[in-house]
Amino acid sequence: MRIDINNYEEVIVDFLDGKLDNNAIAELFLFLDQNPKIKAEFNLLNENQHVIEAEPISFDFSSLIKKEKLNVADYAEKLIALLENDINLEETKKLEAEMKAYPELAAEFELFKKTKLVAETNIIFANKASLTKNKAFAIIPLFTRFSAIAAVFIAIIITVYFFNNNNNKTEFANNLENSIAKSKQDSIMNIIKSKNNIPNQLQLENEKKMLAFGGINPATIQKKKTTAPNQIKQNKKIIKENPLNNSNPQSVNPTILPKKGAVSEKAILNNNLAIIDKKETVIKVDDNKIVDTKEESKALVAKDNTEPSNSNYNIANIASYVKEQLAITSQSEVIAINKPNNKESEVSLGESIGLNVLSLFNKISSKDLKVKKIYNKEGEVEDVKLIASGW
Amino acid sequence: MTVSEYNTCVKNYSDSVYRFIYKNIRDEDRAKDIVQDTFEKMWLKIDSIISEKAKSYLYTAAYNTMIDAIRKDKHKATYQDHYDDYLVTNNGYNDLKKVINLALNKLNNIQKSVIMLRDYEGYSYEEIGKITGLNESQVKVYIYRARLNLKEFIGSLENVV
Repeated sequence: MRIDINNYEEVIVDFLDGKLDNNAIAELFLFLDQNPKIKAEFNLLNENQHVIEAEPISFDFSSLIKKEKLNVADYAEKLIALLENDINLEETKKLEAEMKAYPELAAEFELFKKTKLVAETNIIFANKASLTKNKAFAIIPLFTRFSAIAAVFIAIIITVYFFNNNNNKTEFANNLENSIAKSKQDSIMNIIKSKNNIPNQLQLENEKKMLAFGGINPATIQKKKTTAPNQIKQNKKIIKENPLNNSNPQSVNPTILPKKGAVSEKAILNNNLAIIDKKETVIKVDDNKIVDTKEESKALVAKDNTEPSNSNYNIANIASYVKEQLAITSQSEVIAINKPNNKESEVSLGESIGLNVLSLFNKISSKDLKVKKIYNKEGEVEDVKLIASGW
Repeated sequence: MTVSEYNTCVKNYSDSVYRFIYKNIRDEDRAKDIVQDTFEKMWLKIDSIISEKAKSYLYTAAYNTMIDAIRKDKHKATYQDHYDDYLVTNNGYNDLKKVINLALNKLNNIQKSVIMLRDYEGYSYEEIGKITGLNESQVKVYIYRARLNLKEFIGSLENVV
């Protein structure tokens, strides 16, 4: 290569960069010897030659890495979808790759896997036998069962209601009959009371009045009783003439005679008579005849049998007759209250509570339950009976 | 559905239905009552139920009966609730099953039901929707929330341990 004034600069730069071979270097120094001005510039350039060294400056790539850090919370939906098999194959592979790249994502998925519930097979329903059905049977719905029960209750309530109403009516009728009988009894009592005081000529009229009430002549009763006392027991059915039958007023046949003892006038006046059982005083009226079906007349017994039975005026027969007639008229019970003579009843605390309970029961149930004490002759309580009416 | 099929249902599903109810309400006696009522309802409708859908009917009836019972007693707090809280605050856990049970009890009823139907019985979203009266999307959302809650509870306990 020929070095001349036009290209010596390029060759000098190559020399400084060490790119010239030995021949080119010889040629360069020959040229410099021939041109002293250029040689002086060359020497100046060669002496001050220096290399710019690189500064220790580095770029922090960690900021870029932080930006690429995975936010696992954003992957929750995808991880749950993967757990639920609710994700397609492509997304599954991508997610699995990301889990490999980011361990924290894999850890998060492991945590989600733990949320998968496993059935506890040790929890069992022990009483299966109670659920099984052995055979088909008529199925009665619960509503029908309740309806049936309700219907039964309503039927019971209605029945009880009508039963109560009926009893009330019966009670009213009985009270009415008792009132009538009472008034009739009072009338007869007045006759009896006045019997000792009225003149003989008026006795006949009184007896007629008694006959008008269905009664008979007491004197006649006494006569008949004394003649055939045992015959009454033997007669199963005694037919007597109706005293109201005017066609044969003298043929009155006394049938009810005291069985034992005599009832004093005092007992009658104090209404201190024993019970005449209704069952034993069933009287059938057959046209003009009264048929007494009872086997035996129940005697009236005065609890304070103070008067002798051989009284001249055997009022017991009259009492028996009166009570019978009352029974015929009202067909109701005449209950005599047996009171101890001149002795007040003492009520214990227990009896008081019992009576209060009984009273409360009567109010609630509209019934008429009573407790009756039976006293003996000494005035002591002999028996206590519970009398139910209105049932 | 025949009586025999009904009895088969009793044999196959009574345990799982009881488990489902018991895990929800955590009351043994009431769970038994609900199971009894559920099968009684099934027996009353034995003629109209197809045997293939008996299981679904059972779970639907059981779920509805349970919801009614929960509504009746929603103001009642059981001793077990407080006991669980005590356990959570006073004991460490290394038994995952216990932790899961505790976490399950922290869920609300609907989340608990759907996730149990999903995991215990493997029902699809659609089937769960039919049982619970929800649509598919709702079921999906409830399951998502349930799993998230469970994961957070389990994670928090693991961190504590």
